[in-house]
Amino acid sequence: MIEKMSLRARAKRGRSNLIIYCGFIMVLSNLTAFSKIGASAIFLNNGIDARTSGMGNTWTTVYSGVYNVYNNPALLYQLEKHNITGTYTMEFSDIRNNFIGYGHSVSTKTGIAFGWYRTGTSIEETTESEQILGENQFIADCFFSGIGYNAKIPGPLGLTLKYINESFGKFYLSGIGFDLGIIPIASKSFKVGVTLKDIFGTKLEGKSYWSNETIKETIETKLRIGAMYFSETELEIPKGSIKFNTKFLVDYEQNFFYPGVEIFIQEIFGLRMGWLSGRGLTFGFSFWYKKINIDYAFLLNENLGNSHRFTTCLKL
Amino acid sequence: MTLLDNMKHKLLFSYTLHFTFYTSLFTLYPIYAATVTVSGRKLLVDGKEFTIKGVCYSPTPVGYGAGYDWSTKPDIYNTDFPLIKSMGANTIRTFGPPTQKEALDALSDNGLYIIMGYWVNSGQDFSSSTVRNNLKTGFINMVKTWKNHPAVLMWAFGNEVWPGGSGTDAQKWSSWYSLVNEVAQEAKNEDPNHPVTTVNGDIWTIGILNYGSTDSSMTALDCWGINLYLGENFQDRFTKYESTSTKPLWISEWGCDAWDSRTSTENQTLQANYIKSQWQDIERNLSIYSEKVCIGGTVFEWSDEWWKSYTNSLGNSGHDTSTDWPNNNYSDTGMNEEWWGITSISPGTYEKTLRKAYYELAQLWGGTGIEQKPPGTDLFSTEPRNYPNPSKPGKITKIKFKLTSENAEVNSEIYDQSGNKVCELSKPSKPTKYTYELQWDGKNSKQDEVNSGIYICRIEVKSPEGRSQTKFRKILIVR
Repeated sequence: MIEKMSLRARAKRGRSNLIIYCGFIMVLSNLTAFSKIGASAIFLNNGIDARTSGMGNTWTTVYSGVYNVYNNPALLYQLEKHNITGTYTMEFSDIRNNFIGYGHSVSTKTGIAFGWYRTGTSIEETTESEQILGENQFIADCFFSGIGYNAKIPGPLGLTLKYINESFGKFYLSGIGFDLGIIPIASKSFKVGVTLKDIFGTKLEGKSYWSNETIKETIETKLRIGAMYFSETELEIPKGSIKFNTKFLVDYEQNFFYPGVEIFIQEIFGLRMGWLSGRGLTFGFSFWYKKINIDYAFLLNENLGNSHRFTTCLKL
Repeated sequence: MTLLDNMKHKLLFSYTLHFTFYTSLFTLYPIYAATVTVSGRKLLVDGKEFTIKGVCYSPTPVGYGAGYDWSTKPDIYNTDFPLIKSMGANTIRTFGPPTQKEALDALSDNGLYIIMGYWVNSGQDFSSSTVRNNLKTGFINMVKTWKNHPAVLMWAFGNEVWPGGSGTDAQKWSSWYSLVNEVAQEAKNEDPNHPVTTVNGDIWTIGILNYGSTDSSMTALDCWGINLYLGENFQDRFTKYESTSTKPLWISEWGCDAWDSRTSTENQTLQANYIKSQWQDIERNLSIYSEKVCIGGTVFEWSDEWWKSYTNSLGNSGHDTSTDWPNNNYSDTGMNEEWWGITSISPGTYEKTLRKAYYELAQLWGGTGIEQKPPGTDLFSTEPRNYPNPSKPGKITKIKFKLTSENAEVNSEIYDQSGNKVCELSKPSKPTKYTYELQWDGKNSKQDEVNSGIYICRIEVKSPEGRSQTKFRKILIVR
């Protein structure tokens, strides 16, 4: 009886701690909400893989293979052997986003990944005197390299080093930044993740389009917290059973919640849905065949037009 | 002086004054002819940079054949020229000289220029002094006749001429190009105010030493014209030409026919798409922008010609759809000679029906032609464009567009690349009846300057009748 009381009390205290912890992170997230709409390196705010995009960009707690180098490097430790992956996105207004990456499991506790993300679109160049100079390409690149380690305390953590470069004609901005990720709570059915992107603010420096002056911009630090509840159920059928793996996720960043859900059937076929703040509903599906995985995400956007994102991954 | 004398004196003075005034006007007339020069790779009209936005003009009504003299038919040109002008074009190119001054006057009245062509038959022996003299005489007579008319932009000698006669290719081409240069020199002696050009089929015979077609041989020729039908763009021709000649280049024929041989139907969309992408390629290579070679182009052509089919199985009164020649540069590889017009024609009328390509060019050339679109089509008559693009934080970029409605309701917002709304723009100003102008200062709704990146201006338009349409414009902000 005493032992039961003690267990109940401990569970109660655990829940209280969790609420306090999450509250603390949310407050911190708002305190670090320096970044304004129209901030630097906007191209990095959209997520880069179809899986998390299909779930409303709830990337903080999801293991997404090589994409954790962007999403949350703490989960890179889950990588298995060699992983090669690529993403192609058709965005509104003919903006193209692509990613290729490679990940490798160094040990049971450590994984590393590398990736190259590129956004590009053609811009019609005009002058103030209303001359049309023709089309020119705006290109934004980000090269990632990240490591994840499954530490006992404070839990899995990871670090990503990234090099960013944006260019248009003679204009360019480039700089190096760091992202930090941590999974402080991970149980059989519940997970909490935290990412701190652009720790200390990523400083970009380059050359002005308008003159030969040096220009500087800063990508402000962004803190995001996410939680995931997941369960496995089996549906009995006459010739066996069907396994369902369900995940409910929510991310929180700067006053916005990003909810998502994923249902995997027999670990082969997955369906997803989410809500992407500022844009609208997202949908996705996934298909695993042996060592090949194909993901697709559809992002609704009433204002600007819909987006399609395809990801494929090969495990060797 | 009696009262009568006084009145006579005043009357005489009045007559004298009027006579002097009108005589002056008459004698001043030639002074209004534009001075057109070539400077480097640029074409200048009265000292100002000029881009040829033109149409090949050879309107031939149903039932008539080659050599039809449209200049004798005011009903034709008075119908066509306002439409050409409202498309945003500034030039027509003809294959022979008009015979009537009134036709040129109508051009001037509509603010249009003419590249006046002089037809030269292929297969002639250009080493023959008789042939040379006849051609020179004919061309110079044309120059003498029209050199003082304000509509004249350039003189064009020949069109895709292939020399005949005996001898090697080099000898035949040398004869042709020496004739072109001599003709150009004589034309310039007669009329120093207008450049002389010749029109080739592609660039392959330009700049060849053995053919006498290098710049050092073609000293009197001001610029080259080339006819190109290479599909979506002009492939490597601009680059190749750049290393071939230092003279300006104009694309004297380009376009796409409106008959789709694959489906045996008229395909205006296909034609419009090719014409759009071809003009965009010309635009990218305009010499008015940083060290490029091109001074513009004349799209082929203004209206269908029902006499041109190679088989002519239907005569001049039937619209033949048989394939005349193959061209793998187009997705529809069958070229149909009677379907090249950006307008179509019908029996018994000089009226033209505007094809999609007309509206596409009107958008590209900033014309107002789209205002003639029937109800139910686009509310936008031009694509929104912002000036300058890119812009920078804190600097105003003007977003301009034309609508078919003068009382439309316009709502506009700026979004960043993530799809987040940055700000709403104020209601547009209206510099002219159908022109709308929005402004964005590169700041968000909190009046903070935005950072570098792509922003999307979303413009939603509602007409008084309740129709609505939305267009987008990518605005780049860079510091």
